[in-house]
Amino acid sequence: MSLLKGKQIPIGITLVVGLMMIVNYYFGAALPAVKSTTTLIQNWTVIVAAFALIIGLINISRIHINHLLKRSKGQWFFSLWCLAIMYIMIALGLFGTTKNPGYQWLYNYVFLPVDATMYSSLAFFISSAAYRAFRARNVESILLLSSGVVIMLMNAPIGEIIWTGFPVIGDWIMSVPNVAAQRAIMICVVMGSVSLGLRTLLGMERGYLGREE
Amino acid sequence: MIASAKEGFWNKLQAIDQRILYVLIIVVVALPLLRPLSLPITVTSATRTAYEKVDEYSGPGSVIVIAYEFIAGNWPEMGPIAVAMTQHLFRKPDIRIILLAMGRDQGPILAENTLKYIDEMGKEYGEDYVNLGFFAGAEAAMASFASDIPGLVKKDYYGTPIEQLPVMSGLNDLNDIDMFLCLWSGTPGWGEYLRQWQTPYGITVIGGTLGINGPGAQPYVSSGQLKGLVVGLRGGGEYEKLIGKPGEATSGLDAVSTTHLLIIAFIILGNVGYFAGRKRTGGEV
Repeated sequence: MSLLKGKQIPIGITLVVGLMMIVNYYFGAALPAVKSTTTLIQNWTVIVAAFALIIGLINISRIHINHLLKRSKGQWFFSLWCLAIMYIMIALGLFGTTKNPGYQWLYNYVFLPVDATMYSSLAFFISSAAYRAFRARNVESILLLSSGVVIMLMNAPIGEIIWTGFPVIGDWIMSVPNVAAQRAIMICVVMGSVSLGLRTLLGMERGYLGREE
Repeated sequence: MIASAKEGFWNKLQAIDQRILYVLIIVVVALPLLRPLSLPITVTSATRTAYEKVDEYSGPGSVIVIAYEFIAGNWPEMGPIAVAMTQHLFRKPDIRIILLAMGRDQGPILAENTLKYIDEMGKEYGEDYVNLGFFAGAEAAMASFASDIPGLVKKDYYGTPIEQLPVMSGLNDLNDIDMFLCLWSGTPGWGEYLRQWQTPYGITVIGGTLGINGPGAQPYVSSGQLKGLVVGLRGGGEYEKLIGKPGEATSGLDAVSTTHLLIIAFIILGNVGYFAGRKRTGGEV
């Protein structure tokens, strides 16, 4: 019973499945039995992940129904709106498929422009941040400032009208210093990922199992 | 009194009210959209390479997968890339095109939106192209598709069994796919496809992504893991020029030019204020 309450079973499943995936990745072609088993498990994962969407639906409903019941100040109206739109979209999608004209209309004429507007509003914040942060205070900031300006001019057609050298310098910045720095970051991330993967397989990293009681 | 007024002026140059900047941005974005400047667009080598690689790997008999891994909010920047690259492929004779998404659930509907903007050139749904929809599970779904297509894909986006779709016939795993067009905006996206598709199967990948992702993806272009990469609205505009079909990116690039110039002007003003103020205070700011 204590075995069921504890975390040994999930850790054991993680270890076995994780090792199987690693073996399949490197030796799958030579081990057909391992390959077919991992393919089956991967297909199961897709089904399990689909159920995670239902958990998301339950979670978001619970949070917003709670706000509604408590009449949370400055929030309940948005919660009502969120739940209404969410369930309308679900109903239209489930009963009329995503081809339903109502679903298409809500997606293309409400959701898409609203989402694009939110994303586009970044232009204001980035402009303001560039104006305030790009000060030639020292050598490092001069390098940042000058490369930022060159990349901006490289990405805009007006840049090469001003000077044909901007795309050339911009291309060099992107393919030499940028690639060097990105590769260094990637190698560090990969080393961290390998370490995290090993810790997870060995049961030392248990964050994915939820909070310790 | 005059000296302090001058100091105040230089300080003000460094801290212009952001509302003024915001209003000016609205103006410089709106004006070129209402009255296009029609600035010439030069095709960069990166976009030309991507275009040429698409040509090279989409010969008769090819099977090509396009993944729409972006969301509605990215449409203004990703939409033109998706439309231009999809249009380019639809012009190729005797190829099979598979549209899908495994990282972003909005992918299938954005694929449908893309198809609304293109000329299908007589290609028929189910025969020449198919929208397989969204597969939950991200990296696991990618791995599953790569090793066993019939095991994962049972129906298309509209519920038609794949046995009834000739476009899917004879496709068993990723080795049967000739080229992959990865249109991504974040995670899950290229990074996951790199691990599950490109590295183990060596599939030819051409990418299209947001301007903000361009620098991060550049090492994969240098290493050859991405055979070509189309980046941001600029890349979209260049690709539209290459296929000879100007679209939203071409019209939006004028606004990019004016906005970037405005930002640079503000950066110069800020620095003029900074150095003039420093000179007056003897180096202390």
